[in-house]
Amino acid sequence: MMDFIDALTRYGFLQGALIAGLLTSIGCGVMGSYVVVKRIAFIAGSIAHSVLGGMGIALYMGADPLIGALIAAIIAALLIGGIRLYWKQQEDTLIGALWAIGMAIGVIFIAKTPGYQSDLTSYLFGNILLVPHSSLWFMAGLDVVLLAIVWAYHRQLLAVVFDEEHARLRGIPASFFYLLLLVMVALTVVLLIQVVGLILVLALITLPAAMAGHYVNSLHRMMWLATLIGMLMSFIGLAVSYPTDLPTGPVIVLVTGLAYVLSSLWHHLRRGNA
Amino acid sequence: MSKPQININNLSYRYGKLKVLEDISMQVNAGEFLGIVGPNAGGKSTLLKLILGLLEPAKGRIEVFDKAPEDSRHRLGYVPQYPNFSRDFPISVEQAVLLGRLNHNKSGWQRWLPGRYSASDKAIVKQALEEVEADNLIDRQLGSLSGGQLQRVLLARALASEPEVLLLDEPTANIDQRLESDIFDLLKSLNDRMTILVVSHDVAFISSYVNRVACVNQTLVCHHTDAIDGDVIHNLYGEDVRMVAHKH
Repeated sequence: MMDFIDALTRYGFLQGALIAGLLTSIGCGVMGSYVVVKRIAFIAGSIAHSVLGGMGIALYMGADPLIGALIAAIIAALLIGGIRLYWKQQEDTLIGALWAIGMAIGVIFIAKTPGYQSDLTSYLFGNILLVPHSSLWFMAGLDVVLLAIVWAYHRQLLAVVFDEEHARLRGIPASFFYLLLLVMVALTVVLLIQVVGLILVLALITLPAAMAGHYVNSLHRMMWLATLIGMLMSFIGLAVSYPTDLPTGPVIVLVTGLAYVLSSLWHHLRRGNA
Repeated sequence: MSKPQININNLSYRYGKLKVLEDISMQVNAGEFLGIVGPNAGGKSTLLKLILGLLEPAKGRIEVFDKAPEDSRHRLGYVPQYPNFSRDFPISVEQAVLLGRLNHNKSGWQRWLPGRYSASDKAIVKQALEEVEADNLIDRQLGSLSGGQLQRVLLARALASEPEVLLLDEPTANIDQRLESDIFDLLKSLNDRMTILVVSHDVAFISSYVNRVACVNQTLVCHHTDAIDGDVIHNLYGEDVRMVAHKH
């Protein structure tokens, strides 16, 4: 452990990785809480995977894959929101289809992109150790946007995730806020892609928030605690992966998953005895 | 006589090909306590949702305070039969009832404004909880409440928006029978200041509270407008509804 702290003070790439982990924890803690209480993890998963389509097209056109991811994530969120609002009977089939179609488009465009193609794994599994400084600023900017919207509209968002019908009866533009929520989840996905890649995104969105849900009883406390848990897990994951030379993203996910299982057992036992 | 608060003309509603409501016409006036009764799946809840503008009629027209339901729904309070949220949602009773204060009397662009709850919002929530005798639950988690407590909290959420008309869908279906009359005594006292529409399958029970009954089974089977005392209603409609229930 001391070795890791020592290395952290010396190596810029480790500092960058830690900052990336902390920045993503903010978005995950806040948006993950909405995803968990609204039970839309499957939707978040579909957005995350279909993002590969946008990255592939951007790469093929010689643009920044992150911009492609951002555009694809927002389109996927709006498509899924539209399906849910206007085509509810087929919701899960269509969301599953979008999941696969997005990935297929991405793989095809990446295959057709001339030149060196080792990037695919880093999109799928991320590489937190190679996050450039410009991306850190991009992540911080996304966090600021997410927090500003949540701060301004926390009542409306709570109304929509808690009881959509009641929100509508109170005159809240419920469809708009539901779509806004999905777009914000999409931004969180993009935030996470560089750190853990799009396959592992779902774990970091849902697990810290689900864990926080074991201990607190309001949505805003859930957001705070989930953010702190996410930060701790990123730190531990980085500290474990550095001396063992294991890929960092998957280690962070495993550490978080293990913590979640322990927390669930503890929560279950405590409630059983109460 | 003043204009009716709710005016329904030749209303029909279909779910797919299934006829749910057919050619319903009725009016509800200020200060009424109207019972909507009928067999299960007879369309009672659908009628409430049409009045609230949650469903679109296939034919006919509904006016609430002389406007389309969507434009008047902020003047209505609604207590659904089943809560639309999961019971383990992390929210306190106070936070849940405060949601009834959202967009109170705000229209158009004002609904888009961000903001916080005011001190008066919190005072009104406290008052609403006192009125339904649930003020001791204010700091409890919603998930820890019994069925009867939850029903009172949902009623408080509707009252917090200071409605002129209160619509309730089977308010006593999920609670202990001995609490049933408590809830209806409460509605009776609320009726002094607001119109009440209550859906129920139990004609005999509600007849001693309401001052008018509408029996709905796809069509409006009976609709008596004269004020009659409880016994008469029971005799008339008890027969009617039994007859309807056997008409398969």
